[in-house]
Amino acid sequence: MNEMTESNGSSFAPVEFSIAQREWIETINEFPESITLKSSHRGDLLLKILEREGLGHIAVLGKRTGYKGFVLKVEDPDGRILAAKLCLKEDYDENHTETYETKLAAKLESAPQFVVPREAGHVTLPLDDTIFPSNHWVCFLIPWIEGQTLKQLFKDDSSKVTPQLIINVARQLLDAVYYLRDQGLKHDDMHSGNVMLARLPATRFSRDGTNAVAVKIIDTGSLKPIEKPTDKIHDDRASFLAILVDLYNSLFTNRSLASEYPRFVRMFREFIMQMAEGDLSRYFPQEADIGDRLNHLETACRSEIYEPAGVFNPFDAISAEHLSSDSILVQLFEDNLPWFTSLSVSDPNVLTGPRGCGKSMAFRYLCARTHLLDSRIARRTLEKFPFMGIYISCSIELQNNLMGVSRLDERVRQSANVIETYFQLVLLKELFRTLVSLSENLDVAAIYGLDEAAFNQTILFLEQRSISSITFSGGGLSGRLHSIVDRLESLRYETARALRVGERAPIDLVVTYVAEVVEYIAQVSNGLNGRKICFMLDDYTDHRIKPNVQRVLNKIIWDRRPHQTFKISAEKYGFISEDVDGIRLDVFREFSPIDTGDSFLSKSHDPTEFVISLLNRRLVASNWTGTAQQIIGQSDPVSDQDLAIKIRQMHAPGKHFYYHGIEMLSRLLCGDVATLIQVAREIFKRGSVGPTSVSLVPPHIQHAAILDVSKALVERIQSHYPYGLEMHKIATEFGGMVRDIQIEGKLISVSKKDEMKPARLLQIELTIENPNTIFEQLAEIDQEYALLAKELVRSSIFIERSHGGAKEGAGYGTVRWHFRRMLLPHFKTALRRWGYVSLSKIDELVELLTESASFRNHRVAKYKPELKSAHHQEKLEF
Amino acid sequence: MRLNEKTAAPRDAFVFEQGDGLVISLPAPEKLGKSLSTHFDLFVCALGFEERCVAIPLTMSSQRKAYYPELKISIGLVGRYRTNADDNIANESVLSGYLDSICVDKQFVDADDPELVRTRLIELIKNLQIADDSVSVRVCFDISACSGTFILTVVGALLGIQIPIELSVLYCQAGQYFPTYSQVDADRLGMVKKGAMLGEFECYSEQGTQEPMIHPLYSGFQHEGRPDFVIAIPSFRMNRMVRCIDAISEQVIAAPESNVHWVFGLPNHEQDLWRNKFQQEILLTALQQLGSCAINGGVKFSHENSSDCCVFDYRKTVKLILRLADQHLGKNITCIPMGTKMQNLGVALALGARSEVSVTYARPAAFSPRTYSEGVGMMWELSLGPISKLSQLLSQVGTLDATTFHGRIGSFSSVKHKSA
Repeated sequence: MNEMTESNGSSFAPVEFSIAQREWIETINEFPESITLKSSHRGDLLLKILEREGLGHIAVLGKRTGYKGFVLKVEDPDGRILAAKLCLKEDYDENHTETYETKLAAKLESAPQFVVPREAGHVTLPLDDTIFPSNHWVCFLIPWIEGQTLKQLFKDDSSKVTPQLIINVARQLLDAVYYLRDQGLKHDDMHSGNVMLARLPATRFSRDGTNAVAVKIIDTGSLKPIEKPTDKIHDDRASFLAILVDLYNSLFTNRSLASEYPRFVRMFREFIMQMAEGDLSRYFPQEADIGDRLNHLETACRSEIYEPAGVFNPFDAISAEHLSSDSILVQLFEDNLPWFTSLSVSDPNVLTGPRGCGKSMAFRYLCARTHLLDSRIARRTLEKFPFMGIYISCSIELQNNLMGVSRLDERVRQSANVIETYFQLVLLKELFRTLVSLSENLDVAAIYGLDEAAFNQTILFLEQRSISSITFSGGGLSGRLHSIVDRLESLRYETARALRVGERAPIDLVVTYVAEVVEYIAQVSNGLNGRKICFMLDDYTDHRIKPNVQRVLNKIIWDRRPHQTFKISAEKYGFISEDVDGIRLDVFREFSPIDTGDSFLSKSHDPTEFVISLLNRRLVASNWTGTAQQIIGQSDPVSDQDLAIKIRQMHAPGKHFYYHGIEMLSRLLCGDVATLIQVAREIFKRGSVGPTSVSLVPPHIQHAAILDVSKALVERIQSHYPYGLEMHKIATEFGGMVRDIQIEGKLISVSKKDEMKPARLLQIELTIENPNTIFEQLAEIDQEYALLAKELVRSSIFIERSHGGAKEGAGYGTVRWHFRRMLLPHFKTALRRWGYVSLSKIDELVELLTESASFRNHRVAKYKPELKSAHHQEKLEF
Repeated sequence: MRLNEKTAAPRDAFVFEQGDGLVISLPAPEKLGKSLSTHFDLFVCALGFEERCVAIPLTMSSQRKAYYPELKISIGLVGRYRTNADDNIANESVLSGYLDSICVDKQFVDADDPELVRTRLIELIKNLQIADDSVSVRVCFDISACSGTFILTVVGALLGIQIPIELSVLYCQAGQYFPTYSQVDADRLGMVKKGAMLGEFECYSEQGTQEPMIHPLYSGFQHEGRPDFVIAIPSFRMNRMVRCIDAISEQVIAAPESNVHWVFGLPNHEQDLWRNKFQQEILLTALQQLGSCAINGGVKFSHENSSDCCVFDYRKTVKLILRLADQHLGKNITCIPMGTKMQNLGVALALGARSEVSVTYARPAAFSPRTYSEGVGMMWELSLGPISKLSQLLSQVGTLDATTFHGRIGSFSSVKHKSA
């Protein structure tokens, strides 16, 4: 489309259409099949009027009508499509002729940003003579431009005003304004209605691609020598700035984009303010400085990362979600996690564990995009992974937008297609974000068999599959991929809105859409060089994604394809293994389950080295001098058994400090890495440890820090939903029981050859038939018991371990729940298990759930030394 | 209504930022006088257990009889809560009587289902507009018995409807709010501890806490790898607040001192200022229970991590939310509004212009009617006028303006060519 000029205001009444005339042109209009341009230059030229409907009405003319004229789309005898701009004849006289205007505009012909008239002359066009007294019009023939004006874009398509578009427009407009100045001219009527964004399909496959969108300044009707006085309010520079302001405001009010590109928003605002300075040289001494600034802005919009204020502090980010910098994440990630190797295979996994166990960190680490800041290191690391990892944060991408619809099962059923589409748009967006980064690192992309041709073919494929990529963006291959990401983001946003308001989604993707895209990418990339595309759904857990929504999405997730796989992280029992058709999925067959808590509790795993490395990585990343060994030091006593004995001996009143040192921190771990970092953070804070500190934080400070964090964790259970108070009571009684038995109970041995030691009964064991159905068995007694028990495990008050074997026979097994170690300091106990609480029947578990004080009393009584003779000591087994 | 007023631009600036001064041009609540008419198409209110629940319908009913006997509102929409259903029902027949007197028809809707409320509002407003699509639908929203969530729902839904709407908000204060000064003064420490207790204990007027939810009309825009930032407007009971913060992320609950901005209520009257201090003490105690920040003299509230905000003038809330959202643009921002009704109105309006901010809430499982509030206080009317203008004005806060400058700022010639 083209748009006619609009005056930006002058101080006296200009010649212009009457209201009736304008209304006729915009709504009633009726035109003949052709007009004849009488040009002094080329004689008579017959122009066929296009876009006519019925008797000659042109529906779209309203958008191309200005104050003094309108634009018809015409075809000349050679078949060229042109814009015929018809202007009121009264606006021209001997001082202002169409020939003069054309000659002046000809000076701009070599600047690609200007659209200048090729011909000018007169046209006789009889319209409704009751409204138009004159049949005579001045006519300019101008190349027809496909596209839309900025003004139309702001009004109808503001979601396309992306940072990339802004930079592209600003740069080309600036070039145009400087070109005018160099020619000694001023446009004198520059505004968003006179700036067109032309789509140039010819540049689709250019390597450079910087002209994928071309700015075209139309309407040179007010063009004049720079020194000639004007009645316009704004000069060209002010008009240019006003357009930048319009672009800024469009971005700022699009809160989805503004919040995605905060750095760009801030920098662009600063740029405008500096450009608005009376003395431009204050901020831009050289002309090139403006271009440099635009380059910086372009970098900001390509690699938008959140920059936290100040330098990184070792314990700033307790959880991965708060690590905005990928490079810091790579530095901090400790792969000595006991479960990491099992996760680094190409098979699908369900990774379960408590909040803060490092699931998110590991998922992000395994993703390709995380490593792409340094291509040399990236290649080395990514070559080790048998997949191209694509990270999807459910809390960020899915939770907020799917929570509403999940309130009612019926809504989920009705919106199932939209939910599937939304989910696939999220997957695609993250996939293409990764492709953007890879297209900028072709060396790394080669790991996956991707080259320039493969990227181009993928873009085309997506375009053919109804997701258009050309959204006025430049910047070559990565720019075009980036524009796909923007488009997908825009579709995602609109689909989320449709879900909320129950409207039709802007796009309907078949359930296999992503799988088909992945298969296509595999086709053009030599089967991804033997690798798969692996979508890593982080925190796909029921309090983020409700079960009814999970059942819809599972259909996509469980659809196994040769080149696509999923890994899921969830809280224990947070992943629903069923799909929308009610088909129960065999988790063990479809996915390899990994339990982070259980693997930390495994006898073979010593987490000391892990803890040292975890803390030291943070200190190194922050450029701090000290090490974990120097600042935390060694525990005293080193072993847990000695600690248990010491606590037993020190039970007398007095101040005793025994929770300190690296070994102690390691023993606190049940997979809950974030809490360990919180403990370290507290020790560092209380010990006033700074960047240059190398001295040991005194044991009493460490002890107090550990106690307080532990106490806070126990207190926080109360506010947990659901069953906060019930679980707090159970935790308090169980912790108290552990303490009472350890300190006052009889000594026990776990096998004949072992010596007698203080009991640390941190684990309950219950041997039953079909241990996998423990919650169903509880539910048979009372549904509430099952829910409460599940919640205890889900919230990691107890870590559910893999079932133990049982001598009772086939089908029997031992349910083993281990009390979370981080809660134990609050009860002042040792931290490693010696013995276990043996439950003989499910009723005893029910007693723990419902009568925890009684449960405690029974157990404590059982271990009272005076109640049993020394030779009747129980022999307990590991 | 003075929506078109703009803050004055600096004289010498070509481009300037439209600051939150625009918000001041929003109307202030005015005391409800005899002039209140029933010139509305839709009346929205909630059925609660408080005495003030029926105060405004009663006033409207009597004024209609006295001054506008021929006028009736087309429809009344009453939000019904799932909580305290037995207590609320005590007011139902009285409220229904008054509504029958001022409305042609009335309907009930589940106030605890935001999407249902939104859908119903859209249906009603579309039907009301059928008669003449050039005229605005006049909506009157009596927030006196509304929960914060219901206020957010109704205002959020109205802001999203693409039909001309004029909105008036009516508000009846309670005669007495609990806890009173004398109650707190008698056992300040105990009252503070009570408010700070974590768990399902009965506290002041609340019992239990429901599951934290993200308000579907305020789902925000979250971005990967960005820190969370919480705008917390607490009540006097911290359990709900802590539960909501806990639901956001481990980082926020572990270090609330650096990831949360606390908004304390600032009472309108000097004699109530103790409430502000009391609220801070409760929060401090709750934070100390969370453990990690109980060192170096405990948590300190500063301008960096807290603000006082008027409990009555909704414009102060609007300004504050807009400012905080812009200051923290790029973070994943969540607002947890548990403040007063007028503060919730302010939150709803502000978030209409800052849609990146999500809202998390957790309603109490039940209320204790006897200790909630007592009597009927002052009544207020707030004519917000056309919603679209209101929305447009708020979205302009923080944008740049180059339109008011009349003049020239000089050419580009002051910049030298590289060769120069």
